[in-house]
Amino acid sequence: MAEEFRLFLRTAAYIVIAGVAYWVVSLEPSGTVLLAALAAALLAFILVGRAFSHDRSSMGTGSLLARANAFIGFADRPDEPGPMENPPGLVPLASASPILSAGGAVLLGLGLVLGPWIGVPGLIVLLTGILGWLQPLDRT
Amino acid sequence: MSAVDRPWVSTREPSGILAWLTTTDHKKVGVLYMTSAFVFFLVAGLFALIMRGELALPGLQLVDYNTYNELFTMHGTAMLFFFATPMVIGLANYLVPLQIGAPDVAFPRLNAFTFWLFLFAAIIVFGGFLVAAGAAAFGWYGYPPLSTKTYSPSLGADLWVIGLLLSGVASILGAVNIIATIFSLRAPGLTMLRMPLFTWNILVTSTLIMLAFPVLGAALAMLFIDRNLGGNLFTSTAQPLVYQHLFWFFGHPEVYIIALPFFGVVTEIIPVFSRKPLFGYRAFIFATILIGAYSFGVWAHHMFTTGAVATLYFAVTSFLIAIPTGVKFFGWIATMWRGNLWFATPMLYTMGMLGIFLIGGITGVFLASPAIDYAVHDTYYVVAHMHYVLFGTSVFAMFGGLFYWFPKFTGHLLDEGLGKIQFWLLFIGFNVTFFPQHQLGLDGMPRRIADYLPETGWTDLNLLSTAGSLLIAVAVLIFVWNFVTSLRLGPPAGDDPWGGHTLEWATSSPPPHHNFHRLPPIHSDRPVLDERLARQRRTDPAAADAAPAPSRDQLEGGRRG
Repeated sequence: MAEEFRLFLRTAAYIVIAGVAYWVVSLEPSGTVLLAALAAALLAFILVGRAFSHDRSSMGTGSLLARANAFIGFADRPDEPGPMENPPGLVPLASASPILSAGGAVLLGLGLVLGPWIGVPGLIVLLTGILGWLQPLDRT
Repeated sequence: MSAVDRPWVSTREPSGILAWLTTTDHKKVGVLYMTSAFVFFLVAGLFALIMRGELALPGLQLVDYNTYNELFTMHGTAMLFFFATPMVIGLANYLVPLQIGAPDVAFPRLNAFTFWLFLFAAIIVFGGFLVAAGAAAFGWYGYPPLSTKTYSPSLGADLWVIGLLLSGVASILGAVNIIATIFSLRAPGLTMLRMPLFTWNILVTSTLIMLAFPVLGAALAMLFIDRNLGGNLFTSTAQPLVYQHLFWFFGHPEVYIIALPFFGVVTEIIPVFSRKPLFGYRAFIFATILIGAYSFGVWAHHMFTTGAVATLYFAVTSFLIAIPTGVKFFGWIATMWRGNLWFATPMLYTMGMLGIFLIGGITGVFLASPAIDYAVHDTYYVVAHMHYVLFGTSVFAMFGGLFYWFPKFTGHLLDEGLGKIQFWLLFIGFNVTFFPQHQLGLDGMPRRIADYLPETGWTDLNLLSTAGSLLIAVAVLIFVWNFVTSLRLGPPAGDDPWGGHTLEWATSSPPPHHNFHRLPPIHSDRPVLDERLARQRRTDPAAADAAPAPSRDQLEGGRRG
């Protein structure tokens, strides 16, 4: 049973109940809107999980919940009976792009306060960092 | 396309400081996070010492009123946003991929980006001290109208807003990365219901970050518009309350964003040092999810005294949080019950955390009662309560976690003797500092004041509280000394000095770049313990059946060896 799905669904269900109760008790709009947005965000997360799933064709078998899990793309991992030698995985090379991008983003943010003399160079640094980021640098 | 196919890409790894600046290795990023967070902890702690020095006696001795306002604002900001939250993210960065048997996080470069963004954002916020009118001085909540341009015209206030916005973006991206890692990179056999409890707590915490920080971001963006673009979003008659709703809709989950991972830390430590499997694994998961969900329904208990919120609703929902928290406490106690307890330093800190957080939790239940809250709102009672909750979880459990995982991070053990001295100094110092503040609050001393009259009768307890804060400072300095000396001179730890249960103890200390040469079979939430027992059963079936976990002698012998 995919716990990922349950985690978000249960939380969203609680938030919906809390939101309705809050509105009935308080008639206060800002908190109610926040709770509604929260429930929507949780449900959106489930749908995005579905959209980016690698296996969207399977509808699964078994109970309704199991099929719902399969539908949104969350599935249990098969059990492996024995130990695994040299488990696979990609580890990326070192890259200056993250620090460049972060520096650029911060200078751009400072530009909002201090002016374009620092914001424009920040934008250039940010774009430079992002361009470097687009290079695939994976190694095994 | 790999780097081999593209000759213009250098495959040579940088060394020295360049290696740290360009790293995308989750372990190094985790170390960067934890180190930066600890430095901010020291800086914010220094601010606290200055404030305690100022309050030791009536009259102004050390700083003026405005500097005091800057100090308590930056103390709260730094402790919440630049120490506790990044320390959580740092621990998650280092440990989650190891605990789930992954070679790295899902998005390694995004991971490095979030660290640098957080660090630069923090520097911007602290940069407020360098501008003419000083740093932000309106409290870490940033309530309007005090935080609007009219009452806080300083550039430092704008830097505070922008810095927290960027830091929030970093936290959100970091949380997305952690969630993606947990969902997509778990080792074969590691189902969700076999994940270590620390990783479960990090998953729920990351979900809270993902949902709560955008709300803070929205509030700060609107505050920025009010301050700099002529907006009128929070300045008309009733609108400051909207800011309070937005802030606390983030602010209360933030308490659990800080607390839950440290609950996870102690949940890892207790079974190992009780030589028993964890009691109630599924109950712990359920309680963690419930705490996370409940945390979004209680925000306005911080706003009872506005007179504009549904007090009954928020009192009831706030009381409810005590139930899943109680489940965790019972689980921890049941795990220790009839265990073979070993009070090494990580376990001492865990015990300290449980006791202190329990007091903080109980005073929290008091504060959730509107009648009591009206009486003690904005007094030192609240200061005492929040430090029992936040210091109890983040600092005590952090030290427990650092003593527990330092061998994995470095391959060396921290000095146990110094660790125990540090624990007792910290435990006594903490209680001497903050317990009297309950009474100060009940006596009516307001928070955020730099001075008071001798006739109030608050001097003795304030002096006592200041003396306690000096003990805390000494304890922290002992840790710094222990850390620095143990990095090179600490005894070799071996791969698994404590007899751990989870996957990080199945690899070398420190782990190789890709984390694992070999993964054990995973049939439960404690695969390393399972494999150890299976090995024991093959060599000595009777002894293995009699002792379901490694004995104290085995563990201590292993440490000494």
